[in-house]
Amino acid sequence: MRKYFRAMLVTLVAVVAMLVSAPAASAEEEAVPRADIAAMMDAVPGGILIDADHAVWPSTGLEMTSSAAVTPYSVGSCATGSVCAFSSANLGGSKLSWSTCNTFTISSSFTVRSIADARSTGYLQARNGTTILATANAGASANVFGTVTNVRCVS
Amino acid sequence: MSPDQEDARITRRLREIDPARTSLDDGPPEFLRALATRLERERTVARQRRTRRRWRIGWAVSLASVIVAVAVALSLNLTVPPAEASTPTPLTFSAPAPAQEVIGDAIARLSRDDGVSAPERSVRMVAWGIVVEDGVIDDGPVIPQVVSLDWKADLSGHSRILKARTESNPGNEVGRVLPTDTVLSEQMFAVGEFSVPSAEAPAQTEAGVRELLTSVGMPPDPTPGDVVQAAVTAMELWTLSDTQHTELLKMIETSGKVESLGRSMDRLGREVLGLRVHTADGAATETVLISAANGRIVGQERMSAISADGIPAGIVIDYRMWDAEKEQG
Repeated sequence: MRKYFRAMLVTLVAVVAMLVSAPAASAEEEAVPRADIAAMMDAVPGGILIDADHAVWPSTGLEMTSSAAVTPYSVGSCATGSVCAFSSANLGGSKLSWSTCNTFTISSSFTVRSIADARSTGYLQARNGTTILATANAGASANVFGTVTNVRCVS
Repeated sequence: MSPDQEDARITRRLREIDPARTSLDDGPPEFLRALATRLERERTVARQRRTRRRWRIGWAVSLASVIVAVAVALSLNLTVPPAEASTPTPLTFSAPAPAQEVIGDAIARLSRDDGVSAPERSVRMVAWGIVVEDGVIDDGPVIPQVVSLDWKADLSGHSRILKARTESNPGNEVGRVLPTDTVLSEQMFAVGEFSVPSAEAPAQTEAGVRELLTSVGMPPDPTPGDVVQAAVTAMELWTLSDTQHTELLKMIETSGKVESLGRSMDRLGREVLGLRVHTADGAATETVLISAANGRIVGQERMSAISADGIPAGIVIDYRMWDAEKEQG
C-alpha cells in the first residue's frame, strides 16, 4: 500500500509543480514594448527595454516612459482610467466604477450623489433618462442632485 | 535455478523423506521433474499476474490523483466563483413602539433648547458603502470612512474622506471608530467651486426644509423613500438644526407608510430608534436612526430589498452616521 501512496504523492507533486511553474514561466517571458517605446527603440539604436513601459539608452542617459504609463492621478478613490459613481456627495459612500467608456445603467439599489472621471480625456454625465443632471470632466468630479438612472461616459 | 540445481534440490528433499531410496543417486524420477517444472511455471505466471495487478492499481491510483489534482487546479484557476458581498451585519432592533409615538417622542426631545440651533455648512460623518468595480462586488473587509466637510457661503471649502479603523472591543460594546492617515478623497474648493444647489441657509420652517429637499432632487408628492433620500443628500451638505430635524421627521411621517423597528445600538455605540421606509420602486429600504438621547436623525442605512444586478436581497448597501465629531480623531 505504501507504494500506492508513494505513486500518488509523486504524481500530485508533479502536477502541482507543473501548475505552479506554468505562470512563472509565462511571467518570465520577454516584455513586449508598447508601440511608442518600440518606435523609439527602432529610431534610436542602443536602447535597452526595462519593461513594456520603460526603456533606457545608457550611452546618452536617455530614459523613456510610455505615454500609456503616464496618466492623470486618480480622482478621489476613482482609479486612474476609470469612471465612477458614488452614493455620497464629494466621492464618498458606495462606489460603482467602470474601466471602460460606455453608458451604464444604475441599479435601482443605488443612489448616485457624486460622479468622477479619472481619465485623461472626455467627460462623464450623470443622467435621468437622457436628461443631464451633472457632468464631470476628465480628471474631475461633480456632485449630483436628482435621481440618476444612468451614467454616460463620452470619450 | 538451473535444471541440475533443481534436480539436486528434488533429490535432497526425497532423501529427507526416505533416506533408504538409493536409486535416487541417478537423479529424481522423470514425473517429479515434470511436476517441479509445472509448479515453477505456475509460480511464474502467478508472480506476473500479481505484478500486473500491482501496476494496474498503481496506475489507477495515479490516474485518480491526476484527475483530482487537475479538477482542483481548474476549479481554483479557471472558474470564477460568484463574488460574495462583504457588507456590514444589519442592525438588530427590539421592542418597537408605534412609529407615530417614536416620532412624537423624538420631536419632544428636539424641542429642548440644548441642541443645534441653526444650520451649519459643516458635516461630520462616519460612512460606509458597497464597492462594485466593473460589475464585480468587492469582497474585501468592511472599512468605514470618516468624512468631514466644511464650506462657506462663497462656495469655497474643503472635504476629506479618511479610511477608518474600528477598535476591537472584548465586551459587547461597539468598538470605537477612529480615522487612519489614509486619505481616500480630499478636495479643496476655491471660491465658487463647491457644488450645492443653494448656498443660502435653509429656513427653519416646514416650507424651508421642503424647499431644501426639493432643491436636492425630491420629486413632487414624494414617497417616504423619496423624503429620506433627499434628506440624506441635504444632510451630507448641511448640519441641520433641531427645528429642521423636527420638520424632516414630520415630512417622513406624513408622506406614507413608516415602519417602526424598535431600539438598537448604532455602529458608533449610540442608542437609537429605527424607522424603516421603502424606496419608491421597492428595490431598497431606508432605515432612519433617531437618537434616543436628543431626537436628531443620527443615522441612515440602505438595504437591498430585492436581488438585482448581482446584489443579493437583504444586505446593507451603505450607511451614514451623522454628528460623529468624536470619530474625527
